[in-house]
Amino acid sequence: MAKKTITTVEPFFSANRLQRCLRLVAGALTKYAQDKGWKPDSFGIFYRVNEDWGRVHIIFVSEHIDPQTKYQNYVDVLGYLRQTLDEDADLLDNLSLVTRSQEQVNQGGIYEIGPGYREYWTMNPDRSDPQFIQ
Amino acid sequence: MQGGSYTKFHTKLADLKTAHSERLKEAKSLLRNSAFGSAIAYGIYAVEIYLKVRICERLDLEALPRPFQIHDLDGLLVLSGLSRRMDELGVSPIKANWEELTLLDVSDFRYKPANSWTSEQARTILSQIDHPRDGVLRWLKKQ
Repeated sequence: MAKKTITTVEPFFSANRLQRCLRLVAGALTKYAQDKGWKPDSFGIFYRVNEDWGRVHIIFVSEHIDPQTKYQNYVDVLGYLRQTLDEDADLLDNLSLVTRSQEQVNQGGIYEIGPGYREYWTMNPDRSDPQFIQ
Repeated sequence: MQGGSYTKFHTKLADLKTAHSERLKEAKSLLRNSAFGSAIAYGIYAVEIYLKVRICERLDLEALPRPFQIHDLDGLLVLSGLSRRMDELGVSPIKANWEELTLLDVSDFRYKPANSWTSEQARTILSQIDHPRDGVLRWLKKQ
């Protein structure tokens, strides 16, 4: 008899699904930055989880993002997320993504990161660093 | 009969229909008068009120019930029945504009000095709302 695979579908608005979306997207964004050779202090991931309405809002900020090509940055990053998340790409239905240059954030106003946002920190030690003890 | 909160109707659909286009006109007028923060806030009100119009129409109600008198754009989009259509846009300038708008908290505009926002920022937001091709409000009205 063929082995049955049991898959659980998390409801669209579930807190678990939102946390999973946040965790996977933040991880993928960190990888995106690493792939581009961005130093860890040159980008930031800020988030707000709207549990009432099933949205994870993420602002991806970097000094390497060009404010003049705002829409293209959004397209590039979302394309990368779709590719990287692969079979978890349906989680992107819960995601609201905005890309920002550091210059825009410094400008404030509509580009200010609101008080409802928290910075996402990933433990990602550089294994090539001799101070990193395995 | 004791009425639950769903029977406490307040804002009439007819008023909402008039108000959303008036708020947008006022936003443009405020922009011309260099009141940038207020222009942005009124633009967002226009989107918010229009979504409330769509909620009433979807539920076949002549007024908006109190539980729907919220200001959360994420929630209003869900309640209007248009969230799936927005998600189905995938990677699109309209969706990118919507996501920019959902970042803004209108209450910020009440307490900050006018010089917190620039003319360019106000123009950007009003374009995200009312651009003939990619504006969120224009798209919502076509749905």
